[in-house]
Amino acid sequence: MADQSNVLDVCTDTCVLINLAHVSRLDLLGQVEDLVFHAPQEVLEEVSEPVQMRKVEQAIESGVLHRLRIVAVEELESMAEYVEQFGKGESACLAVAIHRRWVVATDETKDRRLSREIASKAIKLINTPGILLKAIRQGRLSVQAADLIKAELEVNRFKMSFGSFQELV
Amino acid sequence: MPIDLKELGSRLRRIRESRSYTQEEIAELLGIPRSSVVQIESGNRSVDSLELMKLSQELGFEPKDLFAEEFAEQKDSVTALFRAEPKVATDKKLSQAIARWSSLCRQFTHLEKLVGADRGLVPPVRYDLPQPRNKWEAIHQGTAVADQERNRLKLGTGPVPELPEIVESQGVRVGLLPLEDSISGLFLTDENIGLTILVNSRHSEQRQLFSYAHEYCHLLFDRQKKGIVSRLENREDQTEVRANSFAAAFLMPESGVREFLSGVGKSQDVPTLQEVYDEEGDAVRAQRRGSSQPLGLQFYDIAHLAFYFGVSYEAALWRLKSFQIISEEERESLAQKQTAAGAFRKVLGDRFSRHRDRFSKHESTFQHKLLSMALEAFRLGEISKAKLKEIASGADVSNGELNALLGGIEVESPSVGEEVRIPN
Repeated sequence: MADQSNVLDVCTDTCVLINLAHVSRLDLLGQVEDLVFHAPQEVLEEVSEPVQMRKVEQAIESGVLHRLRIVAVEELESMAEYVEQFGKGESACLAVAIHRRWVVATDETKDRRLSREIASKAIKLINTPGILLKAIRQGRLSVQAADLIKAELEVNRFKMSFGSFQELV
Repeated sequence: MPIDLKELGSRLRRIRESRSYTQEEIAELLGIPRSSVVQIESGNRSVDSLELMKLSQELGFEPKDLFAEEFAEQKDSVTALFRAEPKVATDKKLSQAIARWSSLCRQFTHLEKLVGADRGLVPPVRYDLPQPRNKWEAIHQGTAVADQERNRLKLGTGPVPELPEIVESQGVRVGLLPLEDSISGLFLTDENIGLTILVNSRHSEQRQLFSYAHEYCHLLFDRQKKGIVSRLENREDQTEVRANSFAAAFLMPESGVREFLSGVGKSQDVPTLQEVYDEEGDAVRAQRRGSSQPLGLQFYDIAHLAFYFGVSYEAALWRLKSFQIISEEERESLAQKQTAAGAFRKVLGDRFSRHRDRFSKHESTFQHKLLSMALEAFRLGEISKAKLKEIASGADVSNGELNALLGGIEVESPSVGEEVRIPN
């Protein structure tokens, strides 16, 4: 059991949800001990493929992912600024991250505009490979299973810069 | 100082009222009970981000304007238009179409600024003439400025089927939207949306061309009004008379009409006497035999003329009458042959259509420009890929098509894979 003071809240963007839904491993979000994953409503609306939508709904029902509603005026204001240059899901994640000091889960780290904003606001990041690596280190996922997920994601155009998770553990 | 919940609610109420929405209608739009709308407006419950974005899209306001230190909804052209024309605001289908159009134009203006395309953009000229005191003055102003504009734009005396492109090339956002039948088009402007013209896509191509010219006239004369809806029932208003007169003169200049008629052997036989002075203190006279035949314009001549200039059969008839080429009696008689004229036009259109392709292409030109601008903004790192996807989806571009486009934009190295990111 993780020490509650070390638990980090994570605002999850669409790409991470889609990647994990694609390999049917959204359950991993609930297995990484020191992270609690949330998805803003805007992100949930961006998951448009019916099968993936169902998987995400199930993840919410089972409690591994939490639906997030943005209502604080300062967060709404930041979001209103962000939507001019970012997608609605990204804008919601950025607004929450800067005001609550949450981590953002995204796989769009090579997007120039997004990475510039993340760097300038010193926002902490995690991505799909990061979630898999954490699960391996916490004994929730084997290296072989993670490599199978990696291979499946790479077929779906999501390339990783290393050969095997074995190199990282 | 940031605003609080109460102020946010109050601003949302002011926007709702400016758009003539009831609390019930907002509740229905958001799928929440009316009591929640009451609570939002009184500051007892916050609007959530999803509701806010939906409201901004449907009511046509910029989300970030809500949080500005000084809230000035009256600066916005949609508010100004709805105030000036309460009938538009109460027509929900129309007001939503206008709101969506203004959102699209706002996005375009924003992208223009991001990629620097706004620099060096010279707005179209503006004619600061006094408001016409009567219809005669309105007609005169419209005709005179149409001639000036044709000269300024070096259009000669021929047809201008590419009018939407001519207007667009001056930085005006031009669009087609299905509007109710009594509305031919509308003109809308403010600093956030730029100069915009919308024309009713349900009308025939000829009528659309006339409407482009009509709205272009509003843009030249009536920019201070921020918004004008051109309705059939307002055609007696002097600004509408002026715009109609401009459109007719711009699309069918008198010299061009006379040249056309001359080309089909239907010109009036003038002059009949020519005299040339020869420096010997005398003049050489030459006399041409005057035509004993009347002009004899037939329905097919008018249909051909209308087709050539891209206007309707009726517009061509009225124009000929205004030049006194035909009498009122002839106009009425020819007007009765509209069916035959339509059949002839169809023959011309089917065989020699010059306009059809242009029109079908033009319907989406604004969206094409929006998409190109978004691709450029993405290439320059000014917007994210997700934002580009949103804009592309609004222009009916699928994710697959967009990915193919992105393959040609070098913004990241495809050979390098995703690294592992874990928070410290």
